[in-house]
Amino acid sequence: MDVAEAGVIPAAHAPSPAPVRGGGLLHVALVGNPNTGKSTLFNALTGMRQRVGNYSGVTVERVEGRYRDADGHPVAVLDLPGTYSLSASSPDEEIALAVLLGRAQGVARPDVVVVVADAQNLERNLFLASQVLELGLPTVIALNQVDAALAAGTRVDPIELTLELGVPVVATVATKGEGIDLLKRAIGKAVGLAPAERRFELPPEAARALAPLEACLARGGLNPGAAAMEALRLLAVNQIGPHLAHVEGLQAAVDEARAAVEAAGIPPRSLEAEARYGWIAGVVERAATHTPTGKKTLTDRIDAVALHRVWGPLVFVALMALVFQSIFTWAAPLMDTVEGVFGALGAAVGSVLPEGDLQSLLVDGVIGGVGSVLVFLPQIAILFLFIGILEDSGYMARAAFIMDRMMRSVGLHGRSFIPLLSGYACAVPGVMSTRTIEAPKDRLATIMVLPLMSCSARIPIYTLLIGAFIPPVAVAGIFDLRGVTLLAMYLLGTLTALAMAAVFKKTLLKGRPRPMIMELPPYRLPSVKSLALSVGHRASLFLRKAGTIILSLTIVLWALATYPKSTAAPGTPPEAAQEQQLAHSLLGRMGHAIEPAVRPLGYDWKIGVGIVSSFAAREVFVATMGTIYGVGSADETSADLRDRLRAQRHERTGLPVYTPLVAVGLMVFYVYAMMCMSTLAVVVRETGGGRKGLAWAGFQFAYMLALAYGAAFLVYRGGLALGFQ
Amino acid sequence: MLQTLIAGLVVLAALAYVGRRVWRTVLAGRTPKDGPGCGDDCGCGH
Repeated sequence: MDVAEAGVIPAAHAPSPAPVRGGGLLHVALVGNPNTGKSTLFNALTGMRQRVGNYSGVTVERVEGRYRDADGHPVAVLDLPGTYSLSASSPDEEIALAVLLGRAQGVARPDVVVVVADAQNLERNLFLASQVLELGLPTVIALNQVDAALAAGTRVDPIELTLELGVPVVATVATKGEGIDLLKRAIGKAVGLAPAERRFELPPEAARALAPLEACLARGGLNPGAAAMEALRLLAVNQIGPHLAHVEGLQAAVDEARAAVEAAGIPPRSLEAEARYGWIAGVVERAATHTPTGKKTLTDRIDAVALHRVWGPLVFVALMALVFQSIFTWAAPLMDTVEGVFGALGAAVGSVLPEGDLQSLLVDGVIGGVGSVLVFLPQIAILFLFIGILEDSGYMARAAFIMDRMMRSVGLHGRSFIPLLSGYACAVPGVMSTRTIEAPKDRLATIMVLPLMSCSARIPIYTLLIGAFIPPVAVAGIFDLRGVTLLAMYLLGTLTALAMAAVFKKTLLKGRPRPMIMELPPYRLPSVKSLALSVGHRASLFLRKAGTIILSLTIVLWALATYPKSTAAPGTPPEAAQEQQLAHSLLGRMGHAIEPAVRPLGYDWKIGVGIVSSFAAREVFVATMGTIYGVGSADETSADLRDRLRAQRHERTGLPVYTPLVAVGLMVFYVYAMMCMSTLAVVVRETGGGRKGLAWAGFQFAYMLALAYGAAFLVYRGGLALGFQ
Repeated sequence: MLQTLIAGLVVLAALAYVGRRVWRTVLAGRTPKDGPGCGDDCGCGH
């Protein structure tokens, strides 16, 4: 359906001023509510392949892209965080407001603002638009998702809206690329327009009461429109924000204005909402018509089950179980292929190069170490394929809704769920996305527990140990014990994160939870292209990581496992000589020094070395195992690390090193242990940086390590006591 | 001997890379306003 068919008139036909601009770079800021298709519109404008999700709050970081307009002039587009208002009551809103006021560090004030408004939720979207209109910037409204609005019985007239708002309104369907050329033209022309302005009037008593506050803000460098907007905002939220920290006497002016408004019998907190929504109601009445279709949509029918009090959580758990099971069943043939390739590569390099240090470095270190990590690429790709399907279909927002009840029961804000969910991919963006949480204590509690969510770096460890030691036994007729074990590791991390959050919220970070308002987007069929891009992006990141930090650490570990060299006595069997060499090496000596600490968990010194080496990044554990058992193995051409683990025996007793109990204990250790340099760095920064940040990150590292050690000890010792092996 | 020399050079290069990464990570943690806190290859997608 094109825009015209959707029942709206393209804004190109609406009156628009002549273009006035030179050939310089035009700065455009994209602002809008979450779930308006803002990220999709950004992609459509710039062609930049940014990840698109459809649950609230996906855009947290600053994202920029460029395009050239019809005249060939460059245009830089800044995608601001999705926000419902410019109240500056969360870090995201604060950033958006600071950019629009030209007060964000290192960001130029935009020449044009594009407000992306969802045609289906015009009233709510116009609240943000009405605030932006007052900032004194040329503004264009992109009226998006007009096709979906029409399907739901809502018809919006962009010409009427243009007249009501006093700025160009362009109807778009970003997912289909409709209206994008018109929008680009409108952006080019808007730069020559007179700045937009407030379209409603306040009660005279309120206007008089606010005048001194507006004057104070104007003295701080704000234009009259922005000062009026800020005055109204400060009355509602009373949160000055860093972007206004330079304005002298501001707090006193706010207090005076508040007292004057109250004295006039007007509630100061609700003045802005009443004034804006009162005006918006009239605008919507004139520009939009709604004809109820009376039909239950597919989304309504699916949600009747997916959001049901009983069926909803069951559907959620069943879906997750299916995802984890398919990670094993689908990935097996691909993994065998990758293993075969690395086995053949090792054999080929071993036969071409004469025996020596370089041959050992390439075969045992590089191919054995990095190869043993790369084998897990298919499983990571499958996991992200499913996460992409769940996100793009709209189910993830339902999962957040289902989890909200649980989040509130442990004292966390509902908004904490999305950062925690991001933690399944990687804790780094998860920690950064906690910026959407307004209350500092809720935010800190979320950051403190977030690395307990099993990230993708743990997949190689889980799947290596599960594949080697958990038998493929059927569970409940349809599930596989391996998939169930993997699900159990994810659930263990998630439930512990919630339990720890409850502990923090009752002790260190006491505070009342706030209710969450979230939007459930309609279900959509995921786009194959978007899924392919998402999986490809993840796979390339994993490959890059394997080719850089994991490769480098593997080479260093190989050197530690190879030097200094020992001379075996004549007649020593090759395997014994290699074991002797390993024990004599620097790595062996370090391992033996660590061994007393890890022996209570059932581990030998080699596992201890694996744990220590994985402090930088968790996958390095697998690479270390690949290197150690490559150096210590007589069968150097075999790339199947699982077989090697199964074959390991204790030097003295001859009993297997790895038993199912040791494997489960080791997995539990990795569920809890904070072993990621990047996450620690981002926690330091996001908890305030400097000593304060270091203290929080240090505390987090210590409590998670204690939890990991304690839990692994309990699993191993408890399991032995119960007769498990 | 040549194999040992080449392997030694490779190991030194790897050590330098790991050191650089660790230093960059420490710097990212120390300066709250600059840098995303993770490298291109940290796996986080940012």
